[in-house]
Amino acid sequence: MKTSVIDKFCLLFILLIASYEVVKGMGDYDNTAILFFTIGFGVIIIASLLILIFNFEILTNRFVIVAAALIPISFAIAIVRIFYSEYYTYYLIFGIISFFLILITRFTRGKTLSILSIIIGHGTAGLIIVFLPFILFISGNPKFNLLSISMGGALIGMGGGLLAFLKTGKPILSEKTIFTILLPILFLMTLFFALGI
Amino acid sequence: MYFDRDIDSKMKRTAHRPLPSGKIKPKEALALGIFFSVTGTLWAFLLSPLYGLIIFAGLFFDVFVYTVLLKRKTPWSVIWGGISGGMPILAGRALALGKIDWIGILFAVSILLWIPTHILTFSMIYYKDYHKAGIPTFPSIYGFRYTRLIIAISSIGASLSILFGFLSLGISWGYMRLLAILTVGFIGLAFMTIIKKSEKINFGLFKYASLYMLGAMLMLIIGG
Repeated sequence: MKTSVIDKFCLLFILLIASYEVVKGMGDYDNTAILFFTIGFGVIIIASLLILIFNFEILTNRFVIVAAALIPISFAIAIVRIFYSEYYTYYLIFGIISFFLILITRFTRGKTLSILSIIIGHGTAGLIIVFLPFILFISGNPKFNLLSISMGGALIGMGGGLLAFLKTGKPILSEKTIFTILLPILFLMTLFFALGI
Repeated sequence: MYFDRDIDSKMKRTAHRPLPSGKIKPKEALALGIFFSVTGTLWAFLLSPLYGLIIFAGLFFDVFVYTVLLKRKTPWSVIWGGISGGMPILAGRALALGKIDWIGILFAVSILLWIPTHILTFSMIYYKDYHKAGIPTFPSIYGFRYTRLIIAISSIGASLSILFGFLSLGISWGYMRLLAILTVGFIGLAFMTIIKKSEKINFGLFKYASLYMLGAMLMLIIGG
């Protein structure tokens, strides 16, 4: 499926926002958190460029699917590093293992294992990105932009979920609708993450 | 181009160009080409003799060595095309510094290595066209597999040269991070062209290489 003019504009804005974040936009975090945020935004930048060049067809590529897992995992590691640094090492190990599980199961047989590894890796990262900043905010953290990270996490979950169900052959929405809203969702996700970080 | 108008007319990709399609007369093109080349080179010499010399070298390598002497004889002519392509960035740096330094050479090398990604991809996509026009290309002499390998290696070389160039110039870490991201994508796609034989991926690498160079040069202007 080809990208529309609106999609191309979305991709352009995603590239600009994510590039700005990588170059100048990140807050006063330590180098480790910046590294993981850079990985997350980096995958968004490369994925946007690839969609711009190859259209949505690239999303069926196994390398791209595996690399896309780095977005939530790296963001989640960075968030844990910033707000719950005492759990950082444990979650880093968990994140690395879950990523390699996604990588291995994607290139070997066993659909159940592949889905399971995605649920564990993506699911945990998604829960961290969506709920951890939200819990911090309602617990009294005055940073309002934390909610923006939660919103970004919810949007990445929505986009990923739509694609995952489409891939299993049981789409929630029609394929055409999914690909119509996918890049606007990705754009909003990038914007919310940028505002939050 | 005046000298290539005969082969341009044989190739679908270039047949519509003003000279082969007859929109411009050969004498007009030649006169205009000579006028701009001489004026431009003289102007460059007036600005700085070293700058003028590099500009002249670029013109000489492109027009005489690449186009007139080698293009119809050997596929390795692309190297000379690449050297001439690297001259503008070297000239700009030499004009600013008043001398040729190794950073300027590094950036010129990055252009030299980036150009095969362009030309060799074209030579695969328009293989029949080049064959019809009798132009020796890498795919026709060494085969598609070897050509893909050369493209991948030169793409990696180009991206590493730019990366070292950025490091040598002391570009800020923010821009270094962004360049590193774009480089990972570039190298990854270059490897994909070796793993998966696909014209689409090759053309994708060609497009990515263009965006990569544009992005790197913009970063150099903004962050340099």
